[in-house]
Amino acid sequence: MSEAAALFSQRIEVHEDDPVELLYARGVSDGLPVVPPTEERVKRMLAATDRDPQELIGTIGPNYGRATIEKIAINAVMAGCHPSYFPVVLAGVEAMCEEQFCIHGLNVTTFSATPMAIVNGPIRQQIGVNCGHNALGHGFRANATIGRTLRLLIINVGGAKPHEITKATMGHPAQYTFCVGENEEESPWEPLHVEKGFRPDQSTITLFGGHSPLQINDHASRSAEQLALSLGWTMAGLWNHKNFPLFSDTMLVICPEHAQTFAQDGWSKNDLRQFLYEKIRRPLRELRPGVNGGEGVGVSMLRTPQKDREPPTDDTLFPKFAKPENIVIIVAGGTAGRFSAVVQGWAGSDLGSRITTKEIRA
Amino acid sequence: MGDMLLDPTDKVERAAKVFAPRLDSLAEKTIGLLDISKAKGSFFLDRVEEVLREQYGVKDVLRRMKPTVTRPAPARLKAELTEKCDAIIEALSD
Repeated sequence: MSEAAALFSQRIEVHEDDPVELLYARGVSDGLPVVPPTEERVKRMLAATDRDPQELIGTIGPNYGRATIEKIAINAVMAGCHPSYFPVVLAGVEAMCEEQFCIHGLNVTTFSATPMAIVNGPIRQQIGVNCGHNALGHGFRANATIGRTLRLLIINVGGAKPHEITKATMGHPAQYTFCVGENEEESPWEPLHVEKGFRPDQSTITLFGGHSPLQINDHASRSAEQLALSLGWTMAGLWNHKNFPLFSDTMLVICPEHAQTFAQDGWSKNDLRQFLYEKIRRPLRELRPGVNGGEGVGVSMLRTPQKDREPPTDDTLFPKFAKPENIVIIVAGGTAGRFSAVVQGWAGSDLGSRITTKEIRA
Repeated sequence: MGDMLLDPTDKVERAAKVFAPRLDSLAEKTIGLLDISKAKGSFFLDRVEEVLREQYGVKDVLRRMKPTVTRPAPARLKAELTEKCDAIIEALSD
């Protein structure tokens, strides 16, 4: 930004107060202390872009507050971002404000949804986004603060505060921050952003509307098929054990050792998707409401069979994943240990939140 | 004067909402039932419609459904219900 560009936000005078306590009192935190957004710090953040501070990226529901470059910078300061992260944050907000991402719904559902951010491309090394050991965990400023900025914007610009307009039943720790780099160097497959049509040398951020990670242990499978069945039947419990098919996308985070097992047998990401789609199926008799629990295949699916098909019988197999492409696959984590992870998605398809990728521009 | 901080919030100005006038009676009125598109909402609304018709003598019941639970109702749907109905019941279900 130019030196002369004015900042329009209201000023908060600190007086004799502790600024951290003052910001707590104003209700602009996620529960953890925030870095006080002084004009000096915000201007340092804005210096990382040549965009006008008053440029509007989009609005964030449920309040439809305006996410301008200036407001994003203030919240990035509060989250603890280094200015070099700011282009990543801006692309993340662009993704969050896309109509297809449906941030309004994510912010108000009782499901406890949150945007999971996946960073791809050279920017990972340039700013230190962790992709290796502890990839989904703590300890790395870029991961921690980029994800946290999105949460603070949801609170401060979107107006989604717990016990007020957002009433997630349970919530979870990934709502504080959820940002991971894909471990492209340890992946035998093309990375997520290349699958989405970007070049390998471009940097992107992808948002996935989902829940928290669930780790899947498999130290025994030595073939792609064994491992896929092991991962797949664990994923069969997502949402609940009778929710067939899911009406959402699913994010599968494969650890490098597991990825090698698939690669050794020549499996591509699409092979894994197709296998999970075809094999993780249960017969209707096991899925009827009342059998091992009140949940089950919805009545609407039973009474309105597709035109070209017979009504389902007890033997009809229902897939866990409605289509192969509902399974999103990335590689992340360290090179020791056979633990992958899955993130169950919130409502997907055109009626919910679609995974959204944006290029990060310096 | 101490340090100055910048406000991270975006204050969204909203006009105060005014409740529509209450109806004295449901008799001979058109009642809209908006299903927000959650599973089994139709079962609940079927019963509400039955009660409205049998016990309250409504003139008509207009049933509509949001395309998806995940987004606000489309403006056209809201306009139609507002125009045609004397009162609207929006039904959540889970």
